[in-house]
Amino acid sequence: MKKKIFFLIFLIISFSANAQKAQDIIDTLKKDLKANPDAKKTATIYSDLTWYYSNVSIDSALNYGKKAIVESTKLGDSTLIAQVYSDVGAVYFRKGDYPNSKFNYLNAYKIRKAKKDFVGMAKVKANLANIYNKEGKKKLALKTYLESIDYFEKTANYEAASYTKANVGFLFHEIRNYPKSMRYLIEAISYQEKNNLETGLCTSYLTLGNVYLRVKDTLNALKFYNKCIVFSKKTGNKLSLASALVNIGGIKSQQSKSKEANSLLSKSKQIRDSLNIHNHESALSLFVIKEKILHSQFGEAKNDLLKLKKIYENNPNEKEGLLETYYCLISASGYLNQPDSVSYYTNKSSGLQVEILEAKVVKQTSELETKYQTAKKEKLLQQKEAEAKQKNTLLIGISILAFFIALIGFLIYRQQKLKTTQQEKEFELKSAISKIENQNKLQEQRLSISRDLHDNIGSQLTFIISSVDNIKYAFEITNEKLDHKLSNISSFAKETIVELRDTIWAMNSNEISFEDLEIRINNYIEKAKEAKGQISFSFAIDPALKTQKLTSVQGMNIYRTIQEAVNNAIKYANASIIAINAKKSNGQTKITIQDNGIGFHQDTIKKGNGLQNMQKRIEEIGGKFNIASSSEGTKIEILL
Amino acid sequence: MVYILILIIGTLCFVIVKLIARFKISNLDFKSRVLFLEEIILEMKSNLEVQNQKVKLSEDLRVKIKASNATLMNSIFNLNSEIFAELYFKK
Repeated sequence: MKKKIFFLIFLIISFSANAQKAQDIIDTLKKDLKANPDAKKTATIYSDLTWYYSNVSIDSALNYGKKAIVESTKLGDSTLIAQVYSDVGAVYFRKGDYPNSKFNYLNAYKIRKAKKDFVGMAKVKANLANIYNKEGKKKLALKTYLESIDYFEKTANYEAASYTKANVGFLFHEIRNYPKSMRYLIEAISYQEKNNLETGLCTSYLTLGNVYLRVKDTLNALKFYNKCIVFSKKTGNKLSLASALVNIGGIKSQQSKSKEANSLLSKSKQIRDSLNIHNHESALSLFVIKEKILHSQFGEAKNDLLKLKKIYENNPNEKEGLLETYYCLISASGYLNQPDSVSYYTNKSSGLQVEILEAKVVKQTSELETKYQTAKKEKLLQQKEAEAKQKNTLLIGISILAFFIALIGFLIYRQQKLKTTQQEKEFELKSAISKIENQNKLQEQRLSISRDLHDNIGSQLTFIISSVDNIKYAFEITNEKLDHKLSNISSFAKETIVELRDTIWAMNSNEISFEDLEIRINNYIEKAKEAKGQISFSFAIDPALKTQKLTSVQGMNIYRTIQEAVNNAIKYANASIIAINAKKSNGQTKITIQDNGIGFHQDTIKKGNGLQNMQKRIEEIGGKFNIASSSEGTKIEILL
Repeated sequence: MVYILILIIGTLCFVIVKLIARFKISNLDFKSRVLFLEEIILEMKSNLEVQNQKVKLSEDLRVKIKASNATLMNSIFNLNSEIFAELYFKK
């Protein structure tokens, strides 16, 4: 029975946003309509009338809804058409005609979707969720509600969110999850009270009252029903008012306050009649019949019960109501002293009880099976997911493995390539070494041969000198010419030997220092002094130069140049002073050979072999050769 | 399977690190060897240069001795002619 009462509740849940009394607004709208407004205004008025009539008269609302659809279609205003479809859907919903309600809501949804009106879509979805709820698709309804709430909260449309939360509260109430139902309803009421949303409040209070009634908290139930009555009257919501009255009537009936209960129930019936809602007449009748039994009007009560029985028997979903009717018939037949009827209805009630019980068992079994199947499917799904995950991991692992193998291959290839390159380079270097080594050996051999040759020549020259000297002294040569020739041969051979020794000296040293050069030049000067005693020689070397190293060719060329210069000074310059000086100047080595002789005229005197050789030798070792001569003497300058 | 894969990947990581390290070491080793060989070449080249200079001196001396030889031969020939002439007149 109570379930029947609750069934009334969801009919009144809607998104009405006007807190003004519905009838007043309707009157105003009708006045506007009489003023012959333009087509758009007319369509809007029809649409508004549809909406406001939904709380006053369903038939009128549907009538205006049809007119609104025609007018808005003529106008081609898609926004208005969608709004009208939504309004008509709401009216059909209140009437309990869910297929038509769904059809209209879906039309509205299509139009809003085409216009990308996401707020409108969310609102239609919330209304469609009401229908799903009614159709018993609780999961789908809850999902749709929650999606709508999420969208409303994201777009800060908290008002719509509060209405949808109230609907979720109603859904949880229906599936008897009262704590959750209370939570959603209290959330919705809290927002609606803060923002004075009276229309929403009357339906939310009604649902919360029902929840309290279900948890046997009659005091709180009555408190919220009374609040609902206040706001229903304020907003002109007759449907909520009727529901609150019938529920309070039920409580009063249980409290054996028959008079009050009857009064409330008849008030509720009047309101429903005015609204043209008859689908819950049976619920109201049962209250009234019980009151008649309580007042010993058994015959009348039995007649009403038989009528009610027919209604319930035609409706397979109303088995609990039928059972309640059987119990009342047993009671009434008992009072009327009709044992056969008592027995008959007792049997009927027992059978129905068993049937209800069986249905419950079947339902629970099927629920259990569904749960089991779901769990099985979930397990399978989890297994598949795990397998897929494992496959993915394996694939990633194999990819990494392949990459690593490729990397190793590349590294090995690079190493081999490097090894080959290194070997090639090493081979090149070794070849170069071997080549240089061969050249070194060859040069060494050449030097060895030339050394032997020099030794041989040296001994031969010595033999010539000694032979000439022997001839000179042994045969007392009187012929001056012959004597002179012999002396010439001897001195030439001696000069050649000196030159040979000088070269061998240079060849025997890998490098020659200025110190070595100094000793050699000093020896030469000493010999020159012996030959030309009247000439004064001076020779000075900068101490900083002494450690400076020269190559054998450099050393030899410098020595020969100095020798040639001194020789020239002795032979041709008629000099009394010859000075040799070597010093470091501006990072360069400067060697000067100066005499105070007669000099020569550089323009007129052609450079002889001696001068040319000197210049050639110095340029050969990368130096500069300068000569300056005047009547006061000659100065040769070597710059290295 | 995953553990085996991780083990293989770990081993391969180790091999890669080892290969890279070996590559670096081999490179360094090669550089030091090349440096050593280059030093040897430099030294040998400088030796060769010294030898070349000595050979050059020897070559110069050879030219000079050749010239001296010609002069000396000429002088001895003249001397012989003179001696022969004197001996002939004395007879």
